[in-house]
Amino acid sequence: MNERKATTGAPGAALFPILAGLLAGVLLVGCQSYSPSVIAPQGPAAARIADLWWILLAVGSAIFVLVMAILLTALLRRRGDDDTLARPPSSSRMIILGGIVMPLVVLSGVLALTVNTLLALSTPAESEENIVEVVGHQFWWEVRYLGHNIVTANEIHIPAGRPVQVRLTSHDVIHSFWVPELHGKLDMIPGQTNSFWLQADNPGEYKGLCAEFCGVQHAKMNLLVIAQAEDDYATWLTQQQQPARVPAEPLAQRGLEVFLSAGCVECHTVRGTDATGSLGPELTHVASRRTLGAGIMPNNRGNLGGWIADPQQMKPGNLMPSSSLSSEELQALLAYVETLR
Amino acid sequence: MESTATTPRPQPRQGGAGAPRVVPELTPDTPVEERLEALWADPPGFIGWFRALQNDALGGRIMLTAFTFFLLAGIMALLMRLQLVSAENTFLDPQVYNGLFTMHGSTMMFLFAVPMLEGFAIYLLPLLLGNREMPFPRLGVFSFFTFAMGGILFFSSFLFSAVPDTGWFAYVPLSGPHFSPGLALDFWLLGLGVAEIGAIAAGIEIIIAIMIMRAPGMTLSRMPILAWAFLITAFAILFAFMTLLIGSMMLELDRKFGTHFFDPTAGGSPLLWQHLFWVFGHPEVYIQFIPAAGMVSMIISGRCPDFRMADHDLGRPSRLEDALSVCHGLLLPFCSWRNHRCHGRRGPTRLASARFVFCRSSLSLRSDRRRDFSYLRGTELLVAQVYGQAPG
Repeated sequence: MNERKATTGAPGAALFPILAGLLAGVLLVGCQSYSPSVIAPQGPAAARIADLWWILLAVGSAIFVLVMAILLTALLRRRGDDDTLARPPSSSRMIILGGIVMPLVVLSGVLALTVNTLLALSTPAESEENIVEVVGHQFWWEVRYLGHNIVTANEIHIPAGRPVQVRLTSHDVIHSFWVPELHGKLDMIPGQTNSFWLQADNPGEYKGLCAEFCGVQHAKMNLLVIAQAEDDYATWLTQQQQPARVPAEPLAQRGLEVFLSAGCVECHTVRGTDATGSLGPELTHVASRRTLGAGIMPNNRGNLGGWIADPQQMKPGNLMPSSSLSSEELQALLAYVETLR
Repeated sequence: MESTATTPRPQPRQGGAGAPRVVPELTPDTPVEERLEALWADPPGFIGWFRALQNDALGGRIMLTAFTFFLLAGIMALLMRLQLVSAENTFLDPQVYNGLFTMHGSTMMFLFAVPMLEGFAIYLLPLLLGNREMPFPRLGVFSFFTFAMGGILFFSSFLFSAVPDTGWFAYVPLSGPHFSPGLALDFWLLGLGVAEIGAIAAGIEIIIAIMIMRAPGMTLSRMPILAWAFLITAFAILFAFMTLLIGSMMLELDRKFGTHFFDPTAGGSPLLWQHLFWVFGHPEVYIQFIPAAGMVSMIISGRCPDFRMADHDLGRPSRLEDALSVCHGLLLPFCSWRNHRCHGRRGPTRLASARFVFCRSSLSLRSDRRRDFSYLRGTELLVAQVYGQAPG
């Protein structure tokens, strides 16, 4: 008897978690200003995915409400009201409709929508002229503009409103390329090239991240997609194609000497100098990039100095060794690196 | 060995079933219940505790051990939560954090969920099927000790500061010899491999118990639905864990014996590991879910007065459609493991990714077959045949 009283008092209590859930949903939507969100799409591909996401949420919510309503009905029904209900005559019809027909219809619909979305996403980009090859490394992104002789890192510039073909592969372990506001995830697998396309509707910066656990600093492997107006993009291309200039001022010249003699060249390339290492990011125009250490901090003199002096402090486990430069050498090196615009 | 009528509580030399045994004579001064009790008792004392063969002792023991691992995994989860309380928290360094989430996930999957359900099955099956014992008590004991030893080997990685740190899925090449030198991944592969052998042994025992040790008159179609859930789960454990065990052995060969199954620089395929792993991983979800669903079905039908009529009684016979739906529930994941590789698809043939959704794509596999060696081909064909997949 007590049990029944408890269950009949349930409606208010049952509504509570539902309301709490809705509230949590509203709060979650508020997160989009802090981190990139798939439900705030900024490009056509992400928009398709977001549409599908909302449809699935609506279908899932409707089914949840339906199931909860049935459960509530069962809980509220008084025991012994009608013994014939123990096996209602319509039970087999309910099983066939609710257990076979409905899942078949709902799942077929969802399947059709999903396939439709996948087909739309696979439509090849209009222009093949701009092919960007992105190579995953532990724990940074190498970005190559095929046909433009440009190699950069952790930053992909694209023209806004135009699709850009992206080819993904990996130098070491499996990574996954994900710019939530522009497209879904795609794995970067060593020995294999996966390709898709990026398109942003408007100029702006879009955060990306590695979405497959790739080692100790997986959490700090970010990138930035920068969509630019056509003019700005063309300017950027021309500027990036230039080799590094020989610095004019003496301090920076001294910095170049430090750069060439302190072991930096084992891993880094600066076009126009003798530095042709290929293990680390190319530095020809490093000063023009907005972030350091694969998107983990703004690119300024303080961060750069700290990074060069002890990269293991800022990103433990990354593959760049600490340097043993004197203060004078470090200042000169910083002056030189700042000329690499 | 034969207990005499004058001994009130005869000590049998061994407990459990299986060994031929002379049933003591029935005399008026020894109650038959008492003699039955003695006949089936486990050996006494501390040593006897290790020698216990009874299904209830063993089942309880497996569940208790699994629960201990569950608590350890829970502690690790709490540590991770502490780290995640605020951004840029320095409570755990990245290496420790990666070790913790790997240990937590692997423990929950291999040392808690599956053994817990198997312990439950071993504890409950004789009651469900109407017999006294499991068919091979010593196989059950073997299963318990391999599971416990595997778990201990796995956790001993903490003592050697070689904690596995590549995630519970251990994707190659990150878990391969080049990117994970040292012993960490060997603890993962060997410790869990031993525990998996225990899981397979228990699975075999559950299948045999259900197939041959039902009470007279209990046909498969009259069996309680929970027993059906255990049967199907045990088959799934057999196939899923076998595949994982093969994959683990191949990775261990790569790591210590210089083979190149998963090494892309030598013609191996990192995706092969993902296939082998998810042939295990996807059914694993259902291995955990189906027995729970079976329990709910049986508890509701047993405890709910509204159902207590005619064939809705406790332990009501499962109708064919119930049994079929349970079977279906576990066959499907074996066909759909490639869902988990959806992001690994090859670009231009995007139609291939649509076929993941149909649960039977093989087109995408072609991309990593291009440089296959015959042994890779052979393994995939084997996998394909076992699981009814048409190799692409």
